[in-house]
Amino acid sequence: MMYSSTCTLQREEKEKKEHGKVSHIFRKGNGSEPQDLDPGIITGNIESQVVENLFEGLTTPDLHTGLPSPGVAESWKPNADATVFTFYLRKNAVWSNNDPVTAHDFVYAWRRVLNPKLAAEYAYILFYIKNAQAFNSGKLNDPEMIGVKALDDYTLQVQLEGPTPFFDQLTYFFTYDPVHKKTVEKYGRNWTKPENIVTNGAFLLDRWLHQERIVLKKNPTYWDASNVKLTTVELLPIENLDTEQKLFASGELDYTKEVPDIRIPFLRKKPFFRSDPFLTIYMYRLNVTKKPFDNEKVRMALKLAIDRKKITDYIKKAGELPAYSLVPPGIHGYTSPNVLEFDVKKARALLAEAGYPHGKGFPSLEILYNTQLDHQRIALALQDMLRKNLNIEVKLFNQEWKVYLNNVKTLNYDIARGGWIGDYIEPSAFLNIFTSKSGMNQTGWENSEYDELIKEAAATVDTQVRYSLYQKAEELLLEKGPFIPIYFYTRSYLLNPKIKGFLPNLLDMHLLKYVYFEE
Amino acid sequence: MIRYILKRILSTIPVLLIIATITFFIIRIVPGGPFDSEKALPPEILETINKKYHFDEPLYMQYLRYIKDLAHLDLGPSFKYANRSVNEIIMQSFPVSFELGFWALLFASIFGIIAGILSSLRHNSRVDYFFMGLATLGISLPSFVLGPLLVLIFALHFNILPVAGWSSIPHMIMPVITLGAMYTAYIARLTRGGMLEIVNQDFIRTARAKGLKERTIVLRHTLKGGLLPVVTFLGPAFAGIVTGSLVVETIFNVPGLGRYFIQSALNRDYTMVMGTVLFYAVILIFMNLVVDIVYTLLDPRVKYE
Repeated sequence: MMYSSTCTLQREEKEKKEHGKVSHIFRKGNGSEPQDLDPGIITGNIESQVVENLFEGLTTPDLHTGLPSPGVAESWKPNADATVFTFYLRKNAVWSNNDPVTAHDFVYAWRRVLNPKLAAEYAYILFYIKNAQAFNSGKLNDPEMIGVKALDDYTLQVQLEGPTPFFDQLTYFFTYDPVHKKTVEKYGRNWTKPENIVTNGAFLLDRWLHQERIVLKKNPTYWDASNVKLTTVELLPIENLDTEQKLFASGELDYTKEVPDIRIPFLRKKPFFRSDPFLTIYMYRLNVTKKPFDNEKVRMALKLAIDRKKITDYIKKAGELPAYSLVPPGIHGYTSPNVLEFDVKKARALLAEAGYPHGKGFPSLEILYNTQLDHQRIALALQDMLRKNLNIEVKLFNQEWKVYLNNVKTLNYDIARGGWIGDYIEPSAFLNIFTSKSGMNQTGWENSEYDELIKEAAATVDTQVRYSLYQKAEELLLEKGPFIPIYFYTRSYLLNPKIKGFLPNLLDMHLLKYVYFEE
Repeated sequence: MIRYILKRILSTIPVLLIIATITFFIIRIVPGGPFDSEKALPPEILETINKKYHFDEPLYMQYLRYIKDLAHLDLGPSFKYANRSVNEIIMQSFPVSFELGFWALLFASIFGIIAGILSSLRHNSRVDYFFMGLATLGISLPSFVLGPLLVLIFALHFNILPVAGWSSIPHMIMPVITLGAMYTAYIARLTRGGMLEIVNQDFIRTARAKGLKERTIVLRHTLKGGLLPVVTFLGPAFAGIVTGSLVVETIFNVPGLGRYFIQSALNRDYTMVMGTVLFYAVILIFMNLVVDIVYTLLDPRVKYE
């Protein structure tokens, strides 16, 4: 308590002191040290927060909606069945060494990512492109066969494996960013060091002091530089959430990557606390290869016996929404089917039908989660609810992150905590994970009807028809599927109230080109 | 003496080899690998990655490959930090840990010795109880409590020191105190104990009887013998402080090697784990050697052949 009041006090004093002079250095918590700044190599959010400001892809997320808006491409159009996309590049886009950004740069970058020699983890995000997968796995050796072509310096044509109406959303993913061929070839592994790197985004990499700070400066050669207001951005890799929050409290930081959950009740009402909707779900996977979850009725009984509102209201407390579906709300034009609810009576009846009346004879199970206080609190609630509502006993079992990942992947669990962040704003970003062949399935659940529906939907260009197919698939998934949705995340962070242009969006992408200090 | 030193240096090679072998196999036995993540990679991508990093070879081949590189002092590329080698990371971050450790030990020595002397001079008085009480507190207060407490008081309440970072002298003050606190306490207790032992000896009584000034007795005679235990403590203390700064580095966001040490284990960054373990082993072995040599200089009874 004392701490959070100190927090406000310091900030207000500091703001008073600084009144009148506007600092243009935006100091931002970055979570931890980026693994690299090579858009083809990186995989995580820690890196993308930096890279999306250094490089610009064909499209970028719109500040307000998160939907595709022009980046290096001024305009683009898909063909009738969304299997070929043609991008028209702007002529005033240049690299930081003044070379023009051309369609050839994209061809080079995408071929590089797909080259098995690079062994890029996220190469699969390019697998929508024709022959990309075959080339990456070594079945094809000729890069010319990959479905990306520069028709001229400023026209890029992309042939896809199948209809992909949301391909223009994928192109703002960092793996699709262009890279400067000469620089990459000249410096090899060292090309992303500040003294070597050549970029095309709104900011330049000025300094990279490992584990200390990354300094970005406004890029004067960026095509839209006149609209970029920040001149300097400092990104601080701070793993310790407590330290991050204290840096914010003392005014040394304008944005914290996260807020410790335990502090949310104290900070929730402060003007600098922000909690944005986020395309992410928290759930539990059920291992259907083992008893009792091979029984659909048992799975349903558990789905119905969880009071999700209690978890969001009393444990999470940052405005999260109870989840009764897999696809989070907010995707324009899509609503998830109404299948699940909190209904203890029905849950008990189903459990009895499955052969466990009043929980009798129910095997002893374990809830597996990775070691973290927050997951433990939710697992405790789940344990309690299952005991009270269904009279079944489950034990809690926590493991270190990588050990836990390994056990979930090899189906060595009964009930396991899980989560998923959508990569693009489309139901398939979530629904794809439970198809039989998906590496993310990790439950042993296979349903050919579901697979067929997803396949059919993916090949449908008309959004309305496609979404209704996805709805049908999700309905089936919620009825028979191998998971218990718990809640939809929010992104909680602290932000200096003077910062503007940092608008909420479902993908949690906040391009620094739009950010500014209020005068 | 030189022969002895050479012998000791040569004997570190098998020790390091044993450490390298044990670490190599332990880290490989632990479930999970450097490229496991919540987003499971498609099998063909895992295959290309395994091929690139030779994970598809039998473990003993990978081991031999590693030892061969190690013989050339090449610790390999980091799996996690793609554009840096382990050598590079250690070269960049160890000087920071070293600096932090150096200042912390200097702080600990100065304040520990002063507190120890004052306590021993006013044996069983309030001054003694005060300093020894403080020392007990210093030993029992872990750095993850002391650090945040200092930040709360000096950075957030009084606003006179920065919360975290390592870019200027004010940034260094709290990490140095936090890391040094426990060692200050040890040194204070050691000094006090050493001084008390000497104070009761005959030659000090003689000095007093000859009418020497108290200050001369303390500084010239008592201190010389009283500090011997402290000096012998400093060697292992320095090794400990330099290799054990990971908590303080995390709390104060200090860009030292300690943070890489923890993270590499969590990330299963095999080469980085090996690199830090071996590097720390070398430091510990080296410091022990230094201590043994210093012994011969301080105590004429110790001789190495």
